[in-house]
Amino acid sequence: MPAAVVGLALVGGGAITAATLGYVALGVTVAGMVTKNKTLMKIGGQLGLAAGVASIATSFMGAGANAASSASSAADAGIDGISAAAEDAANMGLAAPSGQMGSTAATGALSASDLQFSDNAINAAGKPYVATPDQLSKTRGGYDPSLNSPPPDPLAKYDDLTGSGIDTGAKAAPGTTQGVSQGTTQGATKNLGTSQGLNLAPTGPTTANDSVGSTSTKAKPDSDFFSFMNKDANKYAMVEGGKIIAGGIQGLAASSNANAQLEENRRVGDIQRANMASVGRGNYGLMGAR
Amino acid sequence: MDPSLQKYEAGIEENVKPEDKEAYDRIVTAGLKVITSDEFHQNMVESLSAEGPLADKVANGVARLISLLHVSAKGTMPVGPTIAAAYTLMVKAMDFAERALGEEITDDIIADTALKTISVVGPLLGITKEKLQAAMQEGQPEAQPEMPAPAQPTQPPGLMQR
Repeated sequence: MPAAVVGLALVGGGAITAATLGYVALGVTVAGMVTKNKTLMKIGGQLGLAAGVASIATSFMGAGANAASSASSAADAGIDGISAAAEDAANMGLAAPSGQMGSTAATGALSASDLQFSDNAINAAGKPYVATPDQLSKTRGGYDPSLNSPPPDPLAKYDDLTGSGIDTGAKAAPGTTQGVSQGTTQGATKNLGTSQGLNLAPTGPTTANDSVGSTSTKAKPDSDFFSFMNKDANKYAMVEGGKIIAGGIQGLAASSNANAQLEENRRVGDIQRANMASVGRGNYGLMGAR
Repeated sequence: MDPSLQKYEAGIEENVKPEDKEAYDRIVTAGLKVITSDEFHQNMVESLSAEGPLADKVANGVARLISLLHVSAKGTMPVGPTIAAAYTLMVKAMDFAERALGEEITDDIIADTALKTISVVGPLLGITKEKLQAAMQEGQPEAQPEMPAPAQPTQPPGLMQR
């Protein structure tokens, strides 16, 4: 784990839900598809399949109904390339942070309502973050219930069901926004992690991967993040994932009109966000420029 | 914006679940608000201008941004939309690096950055490699090595075809 992250784990226990896994898969898969990167497509395919790939495949990748040949080749490549994917990942370098991107004052840009989320909107994959890493280190067992104890998660009993695709984090919050403005304003005024969290990031070279255990002064990659997808990975998953991905590639290529509409929607969304954020000079001239 | 970046962002936004869209939008908006603030903006410029691969700089920057947002929200940000927002903010940072700093954006760099971003942001949100592995093992269907592949695999039409 990169040292930049050590001590900054914002949410802790709990299994990863299918929905969360789906979002992880989404970014990887789309990156693979857009860039034609087989490694990412394989990883994304596996992740997506485990997440219940239909949620991703049918929306983004599902356009390839006639992907038989591509599916075959992709599936083959998927099997053959598993170890290659792990190797690629292991070879990636993750340099130590080169600068402190952020500042204590940065949160001043946020208003109390910018990040208002109901407590119940928290994904069951992790419990609410209740203290800064510094505070955690001072408390027993890394958790001090006196620190903004979160209310009991009424959805916790459904955790076991998340594997079947239920996203407990997505359930509608019962109307409360408590703890929200507190989150922003207290976080800023009481310095609850705002500066601490950012300043925890190292300024120099570090050992970035505790699993590797390297003592090199050069940061090792954390990109063995997906290295467990090795040659022992589920063959069926790879084959099926490859088929789905291959369909997606064709779908992506064949949907330029749809993509144009998506792009327009995205552009409008950017403009709306810029307006919401009062991003006048800082939008790099992108929003609405096209 | 680089065409591949455009496609990537569109692909992410298109696949955010409707029920997560509001949270996603708010996180992205808050992220943009922070990185365009006077305080953060200069730091971002300096970080992205520093030595080293762009993918690393962007991934680490997004991780810090997400940590900042998450702490500011006191941990109430839902994880799923946060991950999606991280990918989108990654695109914004790369676009900025290209436009303002003259960084070259290639498909390889995009792929590399995406992988590194989730590798750094994931643990930040409690998504460790071990948990990921466990989730995959739980979610994957039983191995069926003997299952014959259909001659003409078909898939239901996706949104693109509707």
